[in-house]
Amino acid sequence: MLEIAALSVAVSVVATLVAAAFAIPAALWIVHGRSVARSVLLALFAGGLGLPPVAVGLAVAFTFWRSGPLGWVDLLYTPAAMAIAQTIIVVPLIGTLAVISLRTSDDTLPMQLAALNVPRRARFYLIAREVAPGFAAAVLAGFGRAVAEVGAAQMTGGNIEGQTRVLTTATMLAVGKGEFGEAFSYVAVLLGIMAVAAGVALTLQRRWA
Amino acid sequence: MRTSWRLCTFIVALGLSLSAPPTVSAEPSVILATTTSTQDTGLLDVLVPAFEKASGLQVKTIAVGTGAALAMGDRGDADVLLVHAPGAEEAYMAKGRGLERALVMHNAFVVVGPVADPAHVRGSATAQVAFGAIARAQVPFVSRGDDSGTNIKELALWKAAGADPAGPWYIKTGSGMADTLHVASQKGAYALTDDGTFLSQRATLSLVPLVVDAKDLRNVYHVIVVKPLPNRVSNEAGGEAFARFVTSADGQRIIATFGREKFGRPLFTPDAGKAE
Amino acid sequence: MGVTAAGLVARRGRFVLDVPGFQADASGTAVLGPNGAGKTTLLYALQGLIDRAGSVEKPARTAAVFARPAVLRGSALWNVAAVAAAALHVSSADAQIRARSALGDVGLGERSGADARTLSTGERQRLAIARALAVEPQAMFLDEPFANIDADARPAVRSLLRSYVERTRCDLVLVTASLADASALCASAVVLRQGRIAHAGPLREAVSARDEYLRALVADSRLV
Repeated sequence: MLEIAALSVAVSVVATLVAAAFAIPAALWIVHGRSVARSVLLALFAGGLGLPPVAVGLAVAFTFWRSGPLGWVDLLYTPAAMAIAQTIIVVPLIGTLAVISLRTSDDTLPMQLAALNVPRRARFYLIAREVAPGFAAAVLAGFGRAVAEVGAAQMTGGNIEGQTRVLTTATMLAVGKGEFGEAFSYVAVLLGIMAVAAGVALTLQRRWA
Repeated sequence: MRTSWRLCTFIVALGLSLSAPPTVSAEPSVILATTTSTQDTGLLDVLVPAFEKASGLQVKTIAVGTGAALAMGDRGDADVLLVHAPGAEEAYMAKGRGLERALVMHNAFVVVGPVADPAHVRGSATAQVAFGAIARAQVPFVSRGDDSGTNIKELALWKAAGADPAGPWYIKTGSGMADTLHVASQKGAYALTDDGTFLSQRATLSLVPLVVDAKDLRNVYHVIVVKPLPNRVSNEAGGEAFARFVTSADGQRIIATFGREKFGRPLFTPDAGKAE
Repeated sequence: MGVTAAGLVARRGRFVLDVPGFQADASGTAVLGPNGAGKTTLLYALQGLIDRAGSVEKPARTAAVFARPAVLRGSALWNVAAVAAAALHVSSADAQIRARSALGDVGLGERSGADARTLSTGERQRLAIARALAVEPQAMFLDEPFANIDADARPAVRSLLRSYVERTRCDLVLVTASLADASALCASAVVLRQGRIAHAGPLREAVSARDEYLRALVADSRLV
């Protein structure tokens, strides 16, 4: 159980961080100005929110099957493949939430600080401090989505015992075998993880708001 | 901005390194495509680790169902198959996609249904006869409908009985065996199942075995070594090693004793080396 | 040193600001005009906060108060101290002392611990003024800084600014819609209309000016 839970968390944490590393700078870029490219990216993010995770899983599996275009990388049925799928699923969520958070904050702040002679580095720090709560919320939401995902995790990981079995896929297998007690215990641990994530989100909210 | 790209690269590297340990060996792992019934009974949880320990190879067990497993072999997405649909397997070998095919084990299918048995199939001489009766009576029957070995067998039985299963009484779940049995149990319907899964689920089901030990209910498993396709990642040697293991004395012994503690009797009968 | 601009052209969306010449010093220049005339744009352009053509000369250390001041997450004290520390390169302890003093000067001494986002609009503007003064600017650009401050508090804040300007010879550019504010702090006035200068001259001549807007302002201030 510990191994399965640890893998669930590890894969989703990596996927969320990679997704954030792309989505947050992207959000900053989108908000910074106006252009066709920016609108397209924002539309992709918003549309990507509705993308079914199984579709992503299938696309990733299809790409990394030995018979697929990237089969030579031999990445399918590994935690890395699962992380890749989860990253794709989570990027639109973090991106959209980050954009919303930026748009609702005061956009004259950067100019105001510049007008007060605040040097560049300090400006960056102060503005980052302002947007951090919104970004943290976006990232935690992304983690929640990643760790709860089952279809893509099954297709890209294969639910292999000791290698790619995570809480969600283990639950499905237990149900498929009719072992409901075991299934419930996996679900309980998953809920526990989500509760911890929610708790972190709540504490940060209170400290910062 | 620059710092975020650096951070990004670092995290991606961290992520990929997370998956490195299993794939750090020069050899690719052995992909075993097999059926959900071998996985659901728990046989693979014993057989595969034993093979890994003996050979030092790493196996990725992908349990998808016979039809999908054969398709994976076709595409070169697997190195070795453990399946149970002789007709489909023979077609697969005829296409030249397999290097060798060997008999491994068998168990039996069982026709199960409600205690009331509205179609009166209890004690039929063959499953074919029972299926004919069910089709005529148009009483509920739950099928897996998922191209698994069990499903393939079921469809062959309908054909042999001269029946075309269609209509509101014929229900397709598209799910694994245990799920399908639970659906049948809820609906008080008939179903075809392998006796291993039925045994393991029996306590939670309201179904009873109605036709057992008939000639046409034998469920035979073979192992097939996939012929690799050119320019693809594959592990032909590993696939062959697995095939040899499951037909070896050690592998056969594991199969012969599996299930005894949990169910009182073994779930499979080892058959390696016997005539088909 | 003075704020001088020549050939200043700037764009904000469709709006074009075209000011061939502009000047301000410690005697104060008021920027007047109807809504949408480009007053805020002029302020942004002078400070180099938006793209502009033309040349602007101004002192190195400037400060601004925007029409709806942006505040940071944190107390009023922190808002002023953080900015002061960064702009003046002083320690945070030093900055806190300056911040406390500035907040006291604008009458926010008791509210210095309050979260800046909970301040009323008038308190926010006073916070912004304290923040601007705390960075010890050599030129100030103020955009309707007293608009939401209670009438009874306004004179005190105005005289605070005036004494700072007199003490430090700080250049002053003041956008306002109130003649009272303008005459308290500025000696000259510029009237903008549709991005162009419609009138420029000493403020005391505003009474007899030809410009329509100016006359309306004058009439309005006489209503009492």
